[in-house]
Amino acid sequence: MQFLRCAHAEFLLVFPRLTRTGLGISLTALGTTLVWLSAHALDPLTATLQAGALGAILGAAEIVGRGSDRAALTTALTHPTTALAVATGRWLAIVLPPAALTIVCAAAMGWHASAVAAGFAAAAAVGGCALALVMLLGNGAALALFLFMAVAGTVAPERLVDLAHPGALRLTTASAIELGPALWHYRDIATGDVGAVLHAFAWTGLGILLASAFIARRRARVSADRR
Amino acid sequence: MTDFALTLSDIRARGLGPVSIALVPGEIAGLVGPAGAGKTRLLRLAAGVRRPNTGDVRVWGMSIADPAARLLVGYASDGAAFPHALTVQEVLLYYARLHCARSNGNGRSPRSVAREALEIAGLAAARELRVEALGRADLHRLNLAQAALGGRRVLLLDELLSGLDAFARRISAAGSLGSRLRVSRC
Repeated sequence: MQFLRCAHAEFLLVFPRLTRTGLGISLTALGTTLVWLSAHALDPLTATLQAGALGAILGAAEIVGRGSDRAALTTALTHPTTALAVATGRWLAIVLPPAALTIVCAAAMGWHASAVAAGFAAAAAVGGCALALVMLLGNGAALALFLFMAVAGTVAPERLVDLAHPGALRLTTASAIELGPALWHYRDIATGDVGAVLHAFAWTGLGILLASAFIARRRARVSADRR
Repeated sequence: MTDFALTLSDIRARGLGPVSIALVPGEIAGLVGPAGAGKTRLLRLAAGVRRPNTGDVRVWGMSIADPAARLLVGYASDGAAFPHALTVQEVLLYYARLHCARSNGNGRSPRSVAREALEIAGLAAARELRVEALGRADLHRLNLAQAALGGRRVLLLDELLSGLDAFARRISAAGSLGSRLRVSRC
């Protein structure tokens, strides 16, 4: 119960940020762009997945990625909370705005419940991955992940792997694409693929656990630096 | 339970110790030494932010590793950071929620705990200001407010007055704060 209350306290930090940082405007711009694209070129399922995934990356950048936000974690951990509660609450704060965006986009593009479920899964999985990356590397990692998801995340893995030279590089590329969160994985959730659902769950859990480990390690490192 | 508010027993860490300290409730102690002597390191060990190689830190008989001990020990580190997008009140409300989550409320709302911390630090007039708009003196006060929040019984203040002019020092000085600090638990 205490864990949930601490996670809830972290989650509540999202509301001031929606209006005071670029998060609200960025999500609105993303949603508008995706709805426009779906009317011209993009299929609605891809647009819904992009809304979840790209929205989650924007959330991670605005809620966790700023230098002051990451530095403030050290102060937060001198209060009665845990690194896992902080990571879980921040993940919720990252994921809920893009989940709402997914619903709005799906409603604007012609409602498909299965596409919305896939969008939620994409937001959860990519949000977990983004949280861990941003916690470790800052907003540079968020930009790289955003570009990957926007461009390469929707492309079938075979086409990307063929670009790499045969050998270790191709094997590494194929492994990374297969294991990492990518929208082509989560398309299959719309058709009821259990494996894709499990993949999304795994990235959600792994992202939160990695982020909590980075938060705990960051506290120790900052302590050592200021010694 | 014990009569001592804070005890450090035979603490050893890299380049530090052995150190043993025992403070009784109400006691004000200063830590003085040249730069690099390990003052900040010792405060971090006492606050439970770092772990000593050997030795034991206890707050009213509880190990500092016990989460309940963090309800009792407030730590204002030198150069503490706060989220820039939030207002002073939102920052304190966030910490107050963590305290009330741990102590199951005990009849006090996070809002009243945050309000009390604002008063303790003399920040009531600045509560709607964003952290990024605060001057150095108000940042120090916010740091003090988060450390004292929830009626914590042991305050560890690291260079809280550094960089402040004489006027700001007088307002923030630990002596005048003593009268404002009240023992009221979350």
